[in-house]
Amino acid sequence: MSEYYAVGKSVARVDTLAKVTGEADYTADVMLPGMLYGKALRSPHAHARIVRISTRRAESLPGVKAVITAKDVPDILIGLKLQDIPILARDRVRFAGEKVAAVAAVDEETAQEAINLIEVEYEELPAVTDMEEAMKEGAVLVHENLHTYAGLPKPVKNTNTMAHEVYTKGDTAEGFAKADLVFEHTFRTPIVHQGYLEPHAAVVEINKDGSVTVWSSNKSPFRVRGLMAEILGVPFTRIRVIPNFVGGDFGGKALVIDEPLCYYMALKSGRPVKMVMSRQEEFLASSPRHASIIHLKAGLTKAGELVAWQAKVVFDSGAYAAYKPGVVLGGTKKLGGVYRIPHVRIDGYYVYTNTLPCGHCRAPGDPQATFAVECFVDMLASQVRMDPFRFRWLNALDKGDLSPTGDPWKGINLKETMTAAVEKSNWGKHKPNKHYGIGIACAERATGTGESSAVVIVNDDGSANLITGSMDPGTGSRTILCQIVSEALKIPMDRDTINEVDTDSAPYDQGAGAGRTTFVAGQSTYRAALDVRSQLLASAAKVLGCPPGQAQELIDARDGFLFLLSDPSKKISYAQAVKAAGKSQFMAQETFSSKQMDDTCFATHIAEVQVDPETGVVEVLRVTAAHDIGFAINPAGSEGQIEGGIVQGIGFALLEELQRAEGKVTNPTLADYKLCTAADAPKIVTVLVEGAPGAGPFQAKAIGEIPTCPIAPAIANAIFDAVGARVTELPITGEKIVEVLKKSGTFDRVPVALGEER
Amino acid sequence: MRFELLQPRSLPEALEMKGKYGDKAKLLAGGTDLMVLMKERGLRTEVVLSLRGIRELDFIRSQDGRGVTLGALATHSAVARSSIIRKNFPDLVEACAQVSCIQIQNLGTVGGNLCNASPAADAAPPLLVLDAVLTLASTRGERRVPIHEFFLGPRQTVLMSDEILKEVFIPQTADRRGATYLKLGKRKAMEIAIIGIGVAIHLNGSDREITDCRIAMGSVAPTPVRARQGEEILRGQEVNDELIEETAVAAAEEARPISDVRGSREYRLDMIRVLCRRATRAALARARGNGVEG
Repeated sequence: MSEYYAVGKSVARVDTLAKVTGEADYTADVMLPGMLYGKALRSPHAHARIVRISTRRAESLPGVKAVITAKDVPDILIGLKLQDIPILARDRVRFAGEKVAAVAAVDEETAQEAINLIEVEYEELPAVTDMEEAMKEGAVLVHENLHTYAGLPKPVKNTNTMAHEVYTKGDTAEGFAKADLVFEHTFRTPIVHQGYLEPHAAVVEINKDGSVTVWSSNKSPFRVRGLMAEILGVPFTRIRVIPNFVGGDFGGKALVIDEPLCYYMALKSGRPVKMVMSRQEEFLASSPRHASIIHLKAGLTKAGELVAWQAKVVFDSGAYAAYKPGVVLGGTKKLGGVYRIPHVRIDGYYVYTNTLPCGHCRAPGDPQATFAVECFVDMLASQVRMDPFRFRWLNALDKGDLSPTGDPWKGINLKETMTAAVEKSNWGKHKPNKHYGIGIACAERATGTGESSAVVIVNDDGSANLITGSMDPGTGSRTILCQIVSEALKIPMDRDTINEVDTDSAPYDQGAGAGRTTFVAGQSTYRAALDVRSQLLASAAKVLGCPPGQAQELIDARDGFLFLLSDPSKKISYAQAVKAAGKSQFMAQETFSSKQMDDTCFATHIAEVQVDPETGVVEVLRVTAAHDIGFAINPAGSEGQIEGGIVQGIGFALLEELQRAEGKVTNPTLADYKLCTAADAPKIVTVLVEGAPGAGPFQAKAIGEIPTCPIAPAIANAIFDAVGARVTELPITGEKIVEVLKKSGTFDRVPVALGEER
Repeated sequence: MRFELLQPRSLPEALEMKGKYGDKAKLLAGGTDLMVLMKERGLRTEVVLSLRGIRELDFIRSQDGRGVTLGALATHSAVARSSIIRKNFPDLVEACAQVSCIQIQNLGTVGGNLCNASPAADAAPPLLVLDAVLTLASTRGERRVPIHEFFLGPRQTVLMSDEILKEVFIPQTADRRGATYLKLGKRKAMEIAIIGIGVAIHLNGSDREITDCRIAMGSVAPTPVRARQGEEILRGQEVNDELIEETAVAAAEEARPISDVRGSREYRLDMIRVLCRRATRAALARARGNGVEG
């Protein structure tokens, strides 16, 4: 039996009931007296000069209260790090979907009607929509003045390449000289959308004193506060951001999208303004996952040992980089995989094109890199005639090894996940039929760092409050934090309440993301709760007649009572302890900040598929996922994250792609942008590999992002195993499989025994 | 969005209204296409004429051995569940059960699916194969249009501005009929066909001679179409694998698919062959399994 009181147990989420009954309020549910509805006018062109905008007809439409263009907003560029995006397009549009004007009206229909009445004259400019073209000398420049932008890693002139990062270990020239065999290959991944259920929404109200209240579909209220204060040129104290339930984030809810427009229309109209993006707008102009082109080159010995590795990735950033907290993506570093390689060089390029701006999406850059690396590893294994598992095992990182980019990680648990996945799957077993296939892939991703604070209170009725600025965008962190409070105070979950409060009331929190909440918010919460526990013990010591210095040793707390370990019948309640100290509550505040992470998390996925060799249709039958999780605070929650990541990853592997023609999205609907449906979800077997020391409370590691990384290559490798088709470009559609089979001459040759009926 | 909502309680009342408003009135049956067009695609209309209150249009009726009639309000779910349809037209059941998802099947009507005239309409290939006849009504009277003459192009039909589709008649078929509808999509639900193929095979007393073969295809041309040259190859023949292959090739040659976000022209042509072959074999197997008792 678990030694723990509240953690390590699968519990229902604390917000489940509110969500399923519809009681939970999201930003689009905010209704204010006199509130107006805003809509944006978007560019139809990938690249154009704005010659003239006439808003006269829109302004005279009854019900329209404000129309704004670039001249109504500050002439500044904003961004999370690299500041390159205007609030509204000024003189120039750089992608089809960019906002050029906005309208606030008494209702949504009137606002839309007014949008249609705005006349914009454009002069189309040559557009650069292909990332490789964009990198060439003499290419059309998306930003001529790039070198003057704030937040640019290294100022460079006359280029679309905003950033180039390099990781090296050893000497690749020497490594490749030593190699017996050298192989190289190129992989491509498309733009995919986060696919959250709730589209972006924002409401802004200007108060009588000029201060501003913001409701935002955002997982980082403090970041919204900071950006709004910066845009408005006011102190943080003049902006109050109120959190709501967030209907899914997956990295896409960290920025301000329509909040500044709402503000300037509220200013012009004197009324609060709400904007909610449509699904189509989400597909045309939010901040989806970057498309990538990845080139890999590996040197091996005849025995199959990796000796040299060279990787180059180009990420298509789209027209702006503003939506990324770091300009570059963590994925570049993952291009060395999870293997022991002495000589490594990785080059990452981030390129502007005239297409929709990309941002962060669940493990930014990692699924792209992992797809390329783990497919390539299977291809290498087959070149040296080794089983994909054995090849990986031979080269896998082990305890004490340096990472491919030279990081000294503590507690490398890769092989444990490989063994666990193999044990629980059908790896190595007899194939049930000819077109069944099985594939394996591994991934690594560290727990995220950051800063968070928590206030924990025990009231004089014995109940507890956790006051936090940490947001749960749907990950289950709200429940995790409650479990941590319950564990530290040894009170049942129904005795504690989490209060996610506004930025005026909560201590600072960096926001959810990067797999940091359980770690950072968890640590601040745990420490604050332990502090309150000490206060309870100290008060109890006085009442129960213990020497104050020995309270920790002589007194225990459980189920809301403090009692002597030597005689449990001598006890007082938490309420009595608070009152005995002459107080109405015990309270503690803790800030936890971490900048450096010296361990990481591993995962191995094994996918089993059935491929129809005539249509290329792939059915994912079963996925076995083993994750190095340290300690699962809410095992059901961890399994949920893994299952969700796998289903999302199946979309990335087989279905999802924002298709583009000349930079314009051609499938901006959920009918043609194919998310995985429940019917497509396979049987998923999860294995939580515990025991490795994690940085979080109770040694927990992160689980939010890594599940989405190894699934696509595991499926790609399984497809190859099934029908011999190696598709190196995602998504792996039936059409691409058929194309490869046709090229290899194996399509439509062999009579297929599939039975008479499907 | 502002529009007038008309809710007639009888067909004559509806026909009066349609006669009065003509093209200005958009017909609402299940609404699964119209609502998307209005809410997402910016379709403006002055009048929405809802047929939903007309009980007399909501039926599936056997016509004393002559065939079956579907009222304009028969939903995909109702058709797929109907025992008469299940007994006689498994291809139509398969088509209706593969429309998008359960929720859409519960709301969307077969009649609406036809009138929307999408090249990808799932109900169209089986009804083409079945030589269904559509009754179009107006205050001027009624006319009966064979389904192969009904479609003119994407979202275009022979319906005049004052006409309403009243019912779809499916004539009774030969006793030893086997039929199927195969749909190719990227995922298992919520799909618009990359290719849809309906095939029916009719046998005489023996298991070998094909007395009739009918093939219809969706998402391969501006309208759902029959593959008549393909049909001709099998009609009256003793079946064998070569002929089935020849039929599939002929069907692909008759198709005029385009490349779009769902698939390229080339893939579609390949898949017509694959699906036609499979559907023909499956239809044949069903025909052989069907006794002569009817």
